Amino acid sequence: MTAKRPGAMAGTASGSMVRELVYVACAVACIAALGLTFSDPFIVTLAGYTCAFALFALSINVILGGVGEVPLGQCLFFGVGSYGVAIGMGKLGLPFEVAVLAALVLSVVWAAIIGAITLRLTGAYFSIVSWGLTGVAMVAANNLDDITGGPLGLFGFPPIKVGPLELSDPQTYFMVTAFILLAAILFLVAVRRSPFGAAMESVRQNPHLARSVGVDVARVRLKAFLLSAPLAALAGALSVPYTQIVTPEVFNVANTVDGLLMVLLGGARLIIGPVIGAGMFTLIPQVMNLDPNVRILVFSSIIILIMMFAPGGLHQLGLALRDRFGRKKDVHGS
Amino acid sequence: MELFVQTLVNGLVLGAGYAVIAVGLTLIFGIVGIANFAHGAFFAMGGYASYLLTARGLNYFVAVPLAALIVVAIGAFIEWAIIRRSLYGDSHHGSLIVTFALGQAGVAGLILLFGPDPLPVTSPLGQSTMRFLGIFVTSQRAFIFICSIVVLGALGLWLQLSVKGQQVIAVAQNARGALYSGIDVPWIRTIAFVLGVGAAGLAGALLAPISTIFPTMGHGALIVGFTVVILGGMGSIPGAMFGALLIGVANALFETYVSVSWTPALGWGLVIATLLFRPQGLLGRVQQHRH
Amino acid sequence: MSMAADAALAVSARDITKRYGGVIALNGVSLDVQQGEIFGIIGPNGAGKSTLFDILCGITEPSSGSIRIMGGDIGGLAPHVIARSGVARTFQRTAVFAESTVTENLLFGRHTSFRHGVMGRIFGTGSYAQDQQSYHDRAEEVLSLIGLDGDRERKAGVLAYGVQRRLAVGVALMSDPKIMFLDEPAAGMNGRETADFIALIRAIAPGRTILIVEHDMAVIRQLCGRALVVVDGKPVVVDEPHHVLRHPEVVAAYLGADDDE
Repeated sequence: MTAKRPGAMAGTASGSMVRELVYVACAVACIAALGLTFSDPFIVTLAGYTCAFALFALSINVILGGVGEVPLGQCLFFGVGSYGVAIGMGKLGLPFEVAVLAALVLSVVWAAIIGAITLRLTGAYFSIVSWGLTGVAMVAANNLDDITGGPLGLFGFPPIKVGPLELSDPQTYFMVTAFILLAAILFLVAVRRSPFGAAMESVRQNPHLARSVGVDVARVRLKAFLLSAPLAALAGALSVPYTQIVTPEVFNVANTVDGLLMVLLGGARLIIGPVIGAGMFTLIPQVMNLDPNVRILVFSSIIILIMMFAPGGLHQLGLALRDRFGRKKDVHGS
Repeated sequence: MELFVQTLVNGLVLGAGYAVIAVGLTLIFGIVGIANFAHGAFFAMGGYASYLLTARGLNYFVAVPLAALIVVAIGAFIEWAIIRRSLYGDSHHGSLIVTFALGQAGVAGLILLFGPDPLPVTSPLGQSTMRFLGIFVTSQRAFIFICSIVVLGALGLWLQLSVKGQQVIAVAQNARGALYSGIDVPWIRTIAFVLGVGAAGLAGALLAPISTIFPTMGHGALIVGFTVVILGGMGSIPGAMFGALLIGVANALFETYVSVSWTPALGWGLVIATLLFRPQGLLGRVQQHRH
Repeated sequence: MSMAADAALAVSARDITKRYGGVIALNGVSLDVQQGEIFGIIGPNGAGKSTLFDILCGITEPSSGSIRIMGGDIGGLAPHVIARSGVARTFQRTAVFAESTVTENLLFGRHTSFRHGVMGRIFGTGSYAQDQQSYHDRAEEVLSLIGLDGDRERKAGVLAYGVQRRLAVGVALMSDPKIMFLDEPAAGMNGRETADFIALIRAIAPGRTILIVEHDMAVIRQLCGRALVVVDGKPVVVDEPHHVLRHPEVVAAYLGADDDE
């Protein structure tokens, strides 16, 4: 009997359940170990920021690997999260947790509005409009000085705390973001295996056929969008303790592009693909001291090469290698 | 009143420039079937090519068409090396990501080659203005206007009157049918792509003396291009021309009478309104779903 | 026609017309399909068969005319709503979910009837277990019906063409539909595959109404009780296949293609 992939509603035999719990336990142990071993504040906070950005990449993949659209405007929600926290703490004096919650709610509201308008569009139209909205957001953020601090942005926050946890302490910051990331991953795995996850997959592969088996394609797309928005906003909120400043640049589509690269590097079909991509994406520039433009050139070329030769990213390459070494499985049709 | 007419004229001149960019974009979308997010990069390349040529002492008027040809050559190479291999028949998001990445890589490359600072391109027309029925137009802008009309007119004639042009139209309407009629569809796609980006490059060379050239100059062109194309109808050339004039005039009026700093948002507002109320654009055809 | 008689009709269409710009694709087509019939729709290419099919199963709106399915007017209903009320359809191209395995394809056909949600999945609630069970039972039935027991874990995209078509029928069967629309299901099949396919349809027909658009006259002749001929968007004749195929206008329209084509 060939091994089952963790597809929708498969793999619930007790054996694989135990295996999955072991994975989770290992992940928890790794996070704790990493958090406690390394003490260089620079590395640890960077690791924390990587976790936050990985969360952003995950939110992109809910749409890209989920329903098959390219959400160029996802940084809109990231920005809502960042500004939500900055305005909430800086201008309204709210505690961090409350500001985050408010930002999450706001992101869902915006997603509902935007989704209602744009999700009947598919393909390039949706991507263009979602990208355009970030442009509008940037212009708005630049002009609405009173609220957003204009081009200079908002900064000078009081030390950020989540309950008793001081996020200004690097190790705490890392642990908090890492565990939130882990929780998000587990949640997304459960979604993928649920009927909603199956619906998304059917929409991604063949919307027309999906419609004919009774899937409400428009509703599935909207729900996916509503799911991805608060994840992106949370990522934006969690990035503030690292960057310590929020400017209109947070709406720059370049952020989404970075996130996209993380997704493509790791593989859109794998839930933790974006996380792997995020790790590589932040690690490599640290190791090589790259001029920012060289970095863009290199990463863009990598994206092109990936899309040309291995659209499934490292995940696809990994599977191909494994097949090459003898396991009996059907190779992905390309 | 005079201000109004002046603004109108400015808008029309702007629009003519937009039209060249947009027609290229819509040509690629209608025939190659991809949304070319790298279009702005080709626009910038046209500007930089004209800079290189004029810096060598070449007359500006000669440099412009040459710059367009250089962009055509680059476009042909990219089409052969990348587009053709990965994008034709792609119904998923691959083309979007690839062209977007190409655009990013192009801009980064320009920065690395030429530095991030703006560079001047001098045109013999300099700063001179012409006065026409009481309206001021800078000579350069008048030149751009005339060139745009000529190029677009030539394109239109070529499409209507030449065999290849007719084939291009056929492929735009029904690629599969065109294939069955013996038309070399891949070659037509190559031609369309190369023409499309060539138009962008030409627009870049034409607009270079006005705004100086800088690596991200294509960004605005790309946004304008998509705005116009969506407004006019993806794949419709008359739509692109009409949409370009409309947006040029709208931008000019908005900037003069309403607010300069919010003007970038106007284009997007129009796009959203179009997609809400008339998704096929002003002159586009309603998409039939063939399965 | 009395209401009682209407309620017995599986599919009923009145004066369907469809215009695309200046082109008239369908010009006044009416038909009645009884419950339990296997009903064919044939005609030369470009005659409007596919358009008619799209309209009958609710994917496209007609320019004018009405369609009733099981007595209910489907005008204005969204395609997925119609699908959930017991109408299934297979398509000519893009017939299956190519990236997924055979069992996953069958799952897609079933999951709109699932009651549990993400929380049910996480906590393994009762409704989750029930859904799993009914899905597995149904999938086993369908797999043996379509003869793909041994191919469960194969990717749909690598299957042979004829096998994909059988899988498409399987996907449609998962929701136990009362009415099935099959769009050129035998296209591209060889003789052996076609014979297998005919046997499959015969096996699943009891208790269902099936409409088939086909070019392959052997399929029409062996499966359909009645067939409608559409030429240039207009209905020509509705009768038993062997009568229809001898009808002078039909013969003329097909230019002598009276046997397998």
